[in-house]
Amino acid sequence: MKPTHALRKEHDLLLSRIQAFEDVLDVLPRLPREDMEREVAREVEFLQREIKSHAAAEEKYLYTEVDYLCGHDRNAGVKTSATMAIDHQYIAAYIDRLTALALNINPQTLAEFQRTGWELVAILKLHFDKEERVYLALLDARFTEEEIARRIVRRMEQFEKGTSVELPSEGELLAYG
Amino acid sequence: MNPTHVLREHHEELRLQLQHFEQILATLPHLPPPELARAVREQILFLREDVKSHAAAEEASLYPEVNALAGSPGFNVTATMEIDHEYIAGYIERLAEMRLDISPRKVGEFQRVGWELLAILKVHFDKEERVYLPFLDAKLTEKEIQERIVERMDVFEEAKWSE
Repeated sequence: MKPTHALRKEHDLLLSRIQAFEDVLDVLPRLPREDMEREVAREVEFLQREIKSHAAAEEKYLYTEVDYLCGHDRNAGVKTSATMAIDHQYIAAYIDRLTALALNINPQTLAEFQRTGWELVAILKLHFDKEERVYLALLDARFTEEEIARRIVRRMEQFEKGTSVELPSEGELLAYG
Repeated sequence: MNPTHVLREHHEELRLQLQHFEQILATLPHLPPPELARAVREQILFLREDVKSHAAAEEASLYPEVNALAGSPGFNVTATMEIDHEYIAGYIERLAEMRLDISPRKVGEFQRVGWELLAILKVHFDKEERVYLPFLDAKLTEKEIQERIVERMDVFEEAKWSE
């Protein structure tokens, strides 16, 4: 089992739920109005509550570790996770757009909701794949499972629960040197 | 003018063509079959010859410069952006495959894949312009960018064309 298995498992759970969102997008045009409104509201709530907060937690804890591992503190270079943080900005904006569309969902606005949803799903699948193939692989090579649990997983969980969590200390991060 | 202005101008040109692709996607359901097949064929040609080869040229010339200047030995800082390219190429090939038996019944699926590709491309261009190009602007002169990146990308794309 890889040291990052808890993070990978969390991704698998989210990906299954994203697949369910994609399935809902496909059936929406065949649903009666009331069912459509209910499904749309449920999906938007999932995206707002789980995807957005997962992304924010990753950026705060996982990306910080990746940046330090790549020597962001030791050179004047480009911040490794900067491009992935921009993915997060787009993901959040897509979710907010779907939320706005959900407020007035009807057979006329449905096509736009579907298209926006499909685009978001495409971006999310690609984004998860990048994290797993690049960032988690990097962490697997450098940390033990216990270190990952302590430095990243527990902090992300607490953050997602709304508990205030400290960022890794300077000493912890500089120890990569 | 930023030292990377030539790279930014190239992005602008591609962006305009991608807007055109988006407009074509919207009109596809209204086209009779012969025009539908022609429009789809033209767009696949553009995606393969311009977008795919641009991505490959960036990976051969621009990304190595970013990695060298970033100074993260043992780690490829552009690795995630290369995976973007892999997906972009995959989407283009999927569209090219769908082109082979495009019909009014299959236009919806073609549109969906096209929209997904456009979404990924918009985010990807934005990331290059907000992260990599400012980084190069800060590290290299216009002349260096011309010699080390732009000219090499041109040569790479020309070689691809003559293959």
